[in-house]
Amino acid sequence: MSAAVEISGLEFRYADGFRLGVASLRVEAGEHVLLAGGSGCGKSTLLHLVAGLEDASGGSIHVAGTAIGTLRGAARDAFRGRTIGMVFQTHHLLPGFSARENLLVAMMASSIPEADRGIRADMLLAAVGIDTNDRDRPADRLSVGQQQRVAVARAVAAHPVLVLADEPTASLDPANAGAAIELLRATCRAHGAALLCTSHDPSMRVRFDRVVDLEEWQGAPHASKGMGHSA
Amino acid sequence: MSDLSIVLRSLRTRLLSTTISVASVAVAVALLLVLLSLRESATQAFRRGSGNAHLMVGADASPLVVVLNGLFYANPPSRSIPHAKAQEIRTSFPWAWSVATQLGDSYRGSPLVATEPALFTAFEPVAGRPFQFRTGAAFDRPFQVVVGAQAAAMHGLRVGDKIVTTHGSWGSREGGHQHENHPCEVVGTLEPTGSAHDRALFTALETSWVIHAEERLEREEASHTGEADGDAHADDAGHDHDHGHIHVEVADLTDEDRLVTDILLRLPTRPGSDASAAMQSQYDRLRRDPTITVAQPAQEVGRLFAIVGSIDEILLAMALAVLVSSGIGILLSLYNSMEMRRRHIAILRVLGTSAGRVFGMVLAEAAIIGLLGAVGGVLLTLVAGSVAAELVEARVGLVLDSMPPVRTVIAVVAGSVVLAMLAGVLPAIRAYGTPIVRHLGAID
Repeated sequence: MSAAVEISGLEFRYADGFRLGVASLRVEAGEHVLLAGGSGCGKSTLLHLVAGLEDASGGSIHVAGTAIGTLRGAARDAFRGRTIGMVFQTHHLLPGFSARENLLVAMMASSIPEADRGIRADMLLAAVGIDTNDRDRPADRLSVGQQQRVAVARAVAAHPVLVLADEPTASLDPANAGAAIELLRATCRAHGAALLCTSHDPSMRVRFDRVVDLEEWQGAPHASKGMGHSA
Repeated sequence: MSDLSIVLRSLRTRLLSTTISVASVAVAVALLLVLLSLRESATQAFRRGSGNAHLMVGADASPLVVVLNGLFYANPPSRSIPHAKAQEIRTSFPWAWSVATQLGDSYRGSPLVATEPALFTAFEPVAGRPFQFRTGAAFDRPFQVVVGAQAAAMHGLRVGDKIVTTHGSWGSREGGHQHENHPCEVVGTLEPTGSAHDRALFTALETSWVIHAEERLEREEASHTGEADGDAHADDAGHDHDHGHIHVEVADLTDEDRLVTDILLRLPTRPGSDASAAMQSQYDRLRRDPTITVAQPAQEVGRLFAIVGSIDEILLAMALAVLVSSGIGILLSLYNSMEMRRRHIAILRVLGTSAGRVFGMVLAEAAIIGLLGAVGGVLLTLVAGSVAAELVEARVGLVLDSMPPVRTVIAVVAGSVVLAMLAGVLPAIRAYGTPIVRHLGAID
């Protein structure tokens, strides 16, 4: 079985000349990995590279066995849509769309039959605790906590192999942050998705299968954002 | 969920902006359609109304005025042709037919055309389509009237009804004195022709001649007996009339009474042809007579359109400018919304929507605005066009369509959609190039 993510000799140069380097990183299918490190050490950039939102200047990234860098244009977008789910710090739900519609849009790129999508959306929203009454309300009118749960449900809606979570707890207090991470992990676990999550919160370390500390491996941030290897 | 439902949701989310854009397209399309409609149907109505007469002789100042007054009943002709002159013209050439008319009287604002029964058999108000009777038949003696389709509907006239005509007063239900001594009986009603003739009533020339002969004699008698000052009133032409009891028979009519305002003439033609080799020579011959004005109805209608053509083009250009400006409105509306929607687009891209599909969605938004606006414009045209057509019909008597031909409507709707899509290209390019990462949050 291929790994959820396999990175080798990755290099990325920022516009200001800084360089992010990842010699090797492998996330197994279903594995939950925390990408730790302080602000500015390249955690979000690494997620964007894995998602194919940025192009690396060197090396390779394989997601579910596919070298995402070799995919171009619509093919890469479609691959991302059906293989990778994403959760953001500010949730990034589609404004004007209901919670249910946010999930349905996420399923557009998937191979889930059209007829099953509504049922799946309802099931996922129920699983994250969104009441029936709230499912058809515009997502931007839900509470912050509800929006976060909808974002988690949306991340697994297309039945992805991998979920990338970029500082999903940054704006939450410790109690809610812990609950949010547990919800995210439980949801990914329930759907068999690997999780690569960034956080600068040290309290998150104990909650993951494995921790990759970008800051520790590369030395001082902004000097050279190089990263060693983690098996 | 489909791309279309995302597009519709996006339009609904920006409801005010969408509504304003749709409304501006609708107004522009309606303006364009009304102008096209009026232009098209006015042309047709004028061409229809000129009928199959090759030449028309009147006494008004210009050929165009002769045609407008004599065939389209714009105003009562200001001068008449003496009987002797009319006879001279009618016998000066072996015309295929000639029909004389005397205009000036009216019934409740609708023009009364005193004429000859040949008008219903020889003259064709629409070339190739003679008058058709809906009920009754043509008059065969004085004081009988045949009513045009629109006049019959407007006044609720049916065969057997008696009416009292009025001196002058075209286009008005008030004013003018009534010929109360001579009620006329409706003996026929006509099918619609789509021309100005529909709003007219027709009677025998003798009806008009007898009425006006009696009035002339009564005036003369009154002036002889010195009663004119106390018992007379002024008519539209400035003559004095009273209401004595002088009775005139047709046989009593003098040449002075037998005035006509117009003579419709048709030259002999070969079967299947509308043209006559003698047309130009007869036209030139009649033009040499300084006491009359000769017109070629078809040519005068063409001249009329040449006169109004430049105004017509300016109006069309203005309507197109309004349409283009509404397209610019769509462009600005979509382009400005792109700034606010970049995060929305970035999220769609993260969820697997390609840049090409995003481009297509923005174009589809513009196309839908164009389509909704065009449909709204068509509906608006149905309302505004029918009001305009009613006004023109009431004022000029021309039956206009409130909507241009279907082919034109389809072309305008398609043009609006294409224009809207063109307006959407720039915003779509902006959406296509939306940098995803920058709009998802700060790069860490």
